Amino acid sequence: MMADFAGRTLVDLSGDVRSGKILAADWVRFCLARIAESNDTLTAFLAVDDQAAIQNAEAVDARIRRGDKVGPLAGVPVAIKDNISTAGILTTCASRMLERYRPAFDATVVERLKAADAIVLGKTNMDEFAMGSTSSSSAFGPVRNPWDRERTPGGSSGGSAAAVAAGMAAAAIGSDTGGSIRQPAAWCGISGIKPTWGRVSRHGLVAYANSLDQIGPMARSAGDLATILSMISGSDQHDATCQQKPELVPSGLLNVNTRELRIGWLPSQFENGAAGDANLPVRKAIDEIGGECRGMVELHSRYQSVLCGVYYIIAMSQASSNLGRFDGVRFTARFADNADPGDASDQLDAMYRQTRGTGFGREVRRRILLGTFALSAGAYDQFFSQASKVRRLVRDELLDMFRDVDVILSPVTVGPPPKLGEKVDRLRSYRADSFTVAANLAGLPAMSVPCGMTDEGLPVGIQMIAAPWREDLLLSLGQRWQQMTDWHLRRPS
Amino acid sequence: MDNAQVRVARVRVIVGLEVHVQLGTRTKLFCGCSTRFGNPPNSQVCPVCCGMPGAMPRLNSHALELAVRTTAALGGTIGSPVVWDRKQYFYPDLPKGYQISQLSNPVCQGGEVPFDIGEANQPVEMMTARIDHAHLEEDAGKSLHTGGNLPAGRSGVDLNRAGTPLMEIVTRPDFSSGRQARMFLAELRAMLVWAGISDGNMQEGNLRCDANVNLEIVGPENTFRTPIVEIKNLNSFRAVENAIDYEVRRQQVQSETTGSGATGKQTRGWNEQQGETFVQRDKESMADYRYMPEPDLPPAEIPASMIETCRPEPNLIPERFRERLRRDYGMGPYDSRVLVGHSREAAIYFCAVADACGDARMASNWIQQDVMAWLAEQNVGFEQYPVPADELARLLTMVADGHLNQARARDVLAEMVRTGDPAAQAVSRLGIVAVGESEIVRVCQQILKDNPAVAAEIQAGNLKATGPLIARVRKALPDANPVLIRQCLLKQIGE
Repeated sequence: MMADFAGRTLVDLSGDVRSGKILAADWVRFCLARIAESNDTLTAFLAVDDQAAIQNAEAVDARIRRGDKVGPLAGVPVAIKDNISTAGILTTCASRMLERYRPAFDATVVERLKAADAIVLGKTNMDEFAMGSTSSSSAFGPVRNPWDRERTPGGSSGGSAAAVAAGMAAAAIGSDTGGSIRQPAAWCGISGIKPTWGRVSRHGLVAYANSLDQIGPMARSAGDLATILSMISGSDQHDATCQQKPELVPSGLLNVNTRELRIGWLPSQFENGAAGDANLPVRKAIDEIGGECRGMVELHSRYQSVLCGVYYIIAMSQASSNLGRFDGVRFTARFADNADPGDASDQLDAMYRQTRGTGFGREVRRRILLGTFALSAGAYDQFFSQASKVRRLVRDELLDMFRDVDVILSPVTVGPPPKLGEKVDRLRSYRADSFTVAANLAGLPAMSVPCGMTDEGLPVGIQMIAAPWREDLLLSLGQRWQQMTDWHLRRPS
Repeated sequence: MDNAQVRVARVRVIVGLEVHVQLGTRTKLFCGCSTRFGNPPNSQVCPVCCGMPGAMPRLNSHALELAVRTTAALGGTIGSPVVWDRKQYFYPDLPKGYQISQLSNPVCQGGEVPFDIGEANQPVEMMTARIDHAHLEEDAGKSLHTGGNLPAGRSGVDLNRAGTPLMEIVTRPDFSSGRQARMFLAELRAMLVWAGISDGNMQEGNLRCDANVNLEIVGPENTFRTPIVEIKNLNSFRAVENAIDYEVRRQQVQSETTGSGATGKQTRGWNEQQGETFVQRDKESMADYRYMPEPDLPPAEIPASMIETCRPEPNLIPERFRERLRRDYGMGPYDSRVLVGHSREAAIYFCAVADACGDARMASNWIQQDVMAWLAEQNVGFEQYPVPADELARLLTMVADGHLNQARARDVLAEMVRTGDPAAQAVSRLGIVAVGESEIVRVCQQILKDNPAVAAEIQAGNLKATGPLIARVRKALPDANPVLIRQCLLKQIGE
């Protein structure tokens, strides 16, 4: 009889693997069986490497039998978002442009997971190049939410969130540029943290917007997040922006005395229906958490209404630059019919146009064009430069708030996950990121943990934000909350 | 004054240079790949310089140090912290779709290069070119259209060069002829090579130059400027001079026909064979580079101590060295130009020889004639010359002291070069024995006795007749110094 792999946390299970009570190979087989069962409907994974996963798990088991030392993540089956490079394994970013791209190297985060003896199961579906919040702009089909298969799991790390929620993986790695870890974590009823910018190496992450992107873990509990985060963070010779802050150990991340914390929240986020009825559980959770802590402080932001504009200008500008390399010359797909009658230079232009016109989906093309415009000679001062200035003000304002409070609590999303195929106004969907983008603009750590259910039985998450490098406050508070409640233990049927 | 001359407009030539210098680092600007020249295509590449998705740049600290050294050599102000901008355009040899460069805060701001524009044997004539700024950037790769394993009609991209560190040095428009620009470039190249900043090898593209050229035409009715033309990719001193001079003539003729600076800013290339510039791009197709701050490289603060340690000593600045040769060694403009112009090693070797033998003129002559001729023949530099400076100095001292004549000294030097022997050893190996004064006196007496008629002729005032007698003495004493022989003969005739 198989152990209950889906019902327990990673920390519990990996302890049992190390002590030989359960086999890593069984844990991995359990996940692979879940994938085989549900991936056709959920499309959470784009690539699964069953054989390698089982082999690696068996090797870990063999080492444990021999009494050899194994890493802290021994046997933990993890899924990797498909915009994170895996050597020799397809890394498509859910785009036709990279349909056949196999990187020559592992991302640092993948390298570190492997070094800790985690088992990489495969690559998860996402919005194309991480541009979206529904995971339905994937060139390979939309991801579905395990709680309601008619609905989106959120995005862009939707495949990672769905995989964890559906028990296909014990944990997953996502990336968060404007909420792409926290929002799908909230909608799938799991926990996810976007660390401080510079905490986790981005080497190997196919950049969307470098100054906002951050890699982070998604799992069942704050405790699980702490374990994985401690393994993947720290300076990296390949990423000059990545810093060696005091070494993170899981216990250090979880042993803050939460009773001493000062909690901040922004009442304006709940006024005039800004957060919607779906966030009533959040409002309630804020009071419950505040009651457990040292005190509550009401905060006011001058910039709430401009956050999304600033965010999209910066994100799209950097995207237009980062995606310039996908031109059909080297590693990408090339779409060219060579029908252009002109000279070599005309043919080259035609190849660029056809490759980029065909290889990128609509949303990616739209963002490249908007970003290109925001950086162009006539527009730079008004758009990119202006947005960069406001970004600094936003950061200053937030850092200022952290003089009075330790953690800011807020909603993650403006409402429950929409149904797939539902017609959504584009500007409204851009604005749906308004609770999450501030942490990216300011480079702050931010986490989403489950805090309730909607009337329709869909999970709701609450966001916790802290000052730079204070992931320990978030994870400790998250763990305290998960000791008080059982929302994180709920599973989709 | 001639009427025709009055009607001719006065033309002021305005030229500025953008010089791309490859820094002499072993590895590329943002990765660990080698910068060596001439290896098979794409044999020096990695995910970073190929622009693979997810690969991130890491700053090469040696390149930064060389950039600071350049700033110190140019006398500019350091733009610290060093920050980076992306310059974006599409081209197959540009792997990321952008070049990491510096726009907003270049590492070197301001500065100047004094240089000599005097003709070879004319007096020194100093001029100063102001430096606008110099910035660090990465080079692009190379597009290949023929050769290698390329099938006909296909083009390839070689990324070996992609990511090598370049310093782009931009001057103010301070030159008024191709020749001035060429002289400046030669001085700048020498400065950079001397300071160990660049190999300065123009054949390998270590030093490339774009020239911005236009004219101010002061006519009888109006004054106007022709549009600025940028001539791209000049990779020899001759090309720089010829292209600028051609462009000046072309713009002058054009302005005479159109009567104004009608056409807009242009980019032109230089056709070496035809000796002409040609249009590459005009204003309408000028690129918008959409510069954007590079988010993956944190600003690099340059410690004040680094600027101090990077300041070149005066000896490492060619013009300072020429000055020193003129002032301390009494060299003329010509000799100091030739010695310093050859290389830093030549100048240092000269000083060592001159200091040791005490005769700068003699040292200069021997180095320019014998030493440099041999080096040119062997096509090697001073560092490979087999005769150390102190041994050449010993040889020259023997000549000065009259122990060796010039012709025999040449034989000895050849022997020293061949064997690497010290001067004394080479002299004895050749069986040259120092000829004592008494020996010379004895032979002179004998010769005068044998030739009384010639002796009388000399005594009568015909000094020309001394020649044949000297020759006879030398026949008997081949190692004797002819100057001494002559003195000895005249002295005995006078007695």
